[in-house]
Amino acid sequence: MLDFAATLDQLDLGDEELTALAPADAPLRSDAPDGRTLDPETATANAPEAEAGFFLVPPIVENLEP
Amino acid sequence: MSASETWRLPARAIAERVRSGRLSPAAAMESGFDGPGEHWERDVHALLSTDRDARERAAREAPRDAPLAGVPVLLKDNLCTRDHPTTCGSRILSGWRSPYDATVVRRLRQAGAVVVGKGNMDEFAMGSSTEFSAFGPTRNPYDLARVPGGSSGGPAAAVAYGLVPLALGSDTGGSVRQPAAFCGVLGLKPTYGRLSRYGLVAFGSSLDQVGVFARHVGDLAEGYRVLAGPDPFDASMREGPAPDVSGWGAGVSGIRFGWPANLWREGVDGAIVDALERAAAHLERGGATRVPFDFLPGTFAVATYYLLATAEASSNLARFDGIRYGHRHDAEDVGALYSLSRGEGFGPEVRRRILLGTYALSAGYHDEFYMKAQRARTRIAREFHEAFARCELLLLPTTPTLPFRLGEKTEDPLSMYLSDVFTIGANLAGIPGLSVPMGLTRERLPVAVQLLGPADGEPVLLRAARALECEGRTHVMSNGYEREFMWPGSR
Repeated sequence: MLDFAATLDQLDLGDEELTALAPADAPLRSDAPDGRTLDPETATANAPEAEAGFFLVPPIVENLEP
Repeated sequence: MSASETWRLPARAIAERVRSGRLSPAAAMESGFDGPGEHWERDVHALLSTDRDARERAAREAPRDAPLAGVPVLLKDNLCTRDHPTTCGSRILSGWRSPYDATVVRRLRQAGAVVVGKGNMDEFAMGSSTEFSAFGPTRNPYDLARVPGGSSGGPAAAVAYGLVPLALGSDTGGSVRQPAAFCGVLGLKPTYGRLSRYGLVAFGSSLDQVGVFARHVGDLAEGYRVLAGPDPFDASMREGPAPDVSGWGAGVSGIRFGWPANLWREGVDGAIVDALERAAAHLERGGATRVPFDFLPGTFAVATYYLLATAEASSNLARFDGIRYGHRHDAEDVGALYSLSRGEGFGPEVRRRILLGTYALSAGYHDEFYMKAQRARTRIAREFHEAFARCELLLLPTTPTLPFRLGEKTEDPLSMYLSDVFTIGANLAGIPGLSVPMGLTRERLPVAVQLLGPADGEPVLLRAARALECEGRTHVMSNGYEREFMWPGSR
């Protein structure tokens, strides 16, 4: 696949710009709550492991003394 | 026509009957499941999930005075739905339930449509045959030994065999148009930013578009009209109202269509070249003018795409980590949990593309691959821009081949990627494309052509497709549409 990508060398791309599809003046909505909220139970409903509205993960700090 | 035959009707005719009280949404929906569904689904495997209770509830709740009242619709399984699981054809999301509906799903429901279930797809939309679904392939209803195309193979096959008159897919590099071509139905990839992607699970965010499958041009236009338009939840939407497609039946008189015949001088199946000639002749009879010119070969687009799309995918798919949702392999530490969960949850093609994209973005190779591809993308978009200064649309193949056999390309990724050689350019340039069926070959396989237009060129694409549909009724497409009137018993 990387060899195939090298076919792009056949194009003269010297002064081409990088593509930017999103308009510079992308539409922005007002910085205010829009009613889309997930309560903790809904947010963790698909989690493989969750407890009391929190995602459970293995310990991420090593050698922690209790 | 008896109630059990309503699956044969166009979506607009179903809606008209529901609005006037002559047909119930439940009857319209079950007609597809009882008739064609019973006959085909076991062999074709277009569906990943459907739930009788959920679809009956959806039918009861559907507004009856709306444009798509009671129209059964199948969704590709990467569009989020509250009432069905959303798996993206992947083990890593097996059983996952979205807490919300995608914007396009919400719009369908508001327009009266009934979501009947979720359609099969290549895992995370990465594939051109639907063989990379973690839940088994979909087969082409015209020849069960052949693929339906992909990645939206399930929705395309379901529309082809008659389960639903309308379906949604997503098109990142051709994933609506290519399966539409292989299954003998219409497939529209709209202009980038015209259909909301809020609730479409992301693959390549600068390329992804939601697309529509239908058997009739008028249904396609109605689907586009209902779905297109601004959405404050998707910051990549185009500003302003979507173009008016109500003139889809206005004909092609005065339209100039580009004819880049250098693209199919070699490597394209003779039946497809023949379909292109027939399509061009139909358009000319309708008053359109052929404008021949040479166009940049599609292999450059394929090379560009498989660097950019994989780079974007490697970033987008980082969210699947086994913590917040999806498959998890329990491990002693978080690093092992990530790698084991992802290694088990993702299939081989998704892993291949994440690796390729990560490599293309990595320090030291970023300029050589990713940046070069971004420059090539600008070059390709300019090529289209210059073409549309000379014509209103381009006529070209959707695919280089007819539907291929299951297993034929799964061991040769580059060969699979090259089946998108004519579709990828539209995604890179953000322009609309429409695959139009042109009947069946002597071997009774669907054959199609593709129409590409400038940004917001959907109205002219639909007019041209309608011209081919009208002409075809008495000529080439009678076989393709005959299928609707053949079933059951005449197979």
